[in-house]
Amino acid sequence: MSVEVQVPTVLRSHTGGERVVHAEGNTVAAVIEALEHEFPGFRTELLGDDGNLRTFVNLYVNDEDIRYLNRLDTPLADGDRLAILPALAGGGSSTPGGFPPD
Amino acid sequence: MIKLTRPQLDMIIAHAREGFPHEICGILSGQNGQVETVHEATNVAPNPRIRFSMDPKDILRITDEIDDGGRELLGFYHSHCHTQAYPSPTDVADWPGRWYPDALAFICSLMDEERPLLRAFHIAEDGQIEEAQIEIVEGSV
Repeated sequence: MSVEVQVPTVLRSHTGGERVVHAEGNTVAAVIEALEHEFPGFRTELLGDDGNLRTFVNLYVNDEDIRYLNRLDTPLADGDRLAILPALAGGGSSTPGGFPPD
Repeated sequence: MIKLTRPQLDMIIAHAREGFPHEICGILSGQNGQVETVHEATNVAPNPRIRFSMDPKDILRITDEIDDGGRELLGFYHSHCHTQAYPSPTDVADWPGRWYPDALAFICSLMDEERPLLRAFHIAEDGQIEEAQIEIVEGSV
């Protein structure tokens, strides 16, 4: 089965500038392996040494965050869309005063 | 050194004040160290008083706009409502430095209501923090 993968700007150097590529796989993990096979180095951009999704990477299957599905084991069907996006998060502490200026 | 115009600085501070007591966030793009566009985004964190999480749809839209316009992503900004304009441990832990090694983390603190403060930092992949100087220049938003 083939899924459509949306590639963020920072990873398009791996895909020859393509914003959308197609890959085969019945889970998110399988698609990542397929991408790695076609675009060597891709897996390392998404997964850490422990094999888990990097904290700053979001993967969405048809607009749903895989962290709230079955993570890398999330099943995929023919025609599904897998979006790769940077995760931008953070924020101040609840403790007034915060952190040292330098 | 990163250059911001006074109206751009005012726009970020106004965004932070408008969102208070929730944190706000956005992206700055431009060229050659000069910010040209302030892209406001939506904070979808479940606890927005002390956290931000940029809406992924905004990230996709804004990064494509920047790419289409041939500009660079110069930095990400967010507000701290009650703490200093300095990266928190959460800011450092979640920083996407691997993908954006040259982008700066802009933090707008509203800790002093009368004197909001914007500072910019380079956060390395290993968590090292180094402040970048912001130069305010003449120009429009």
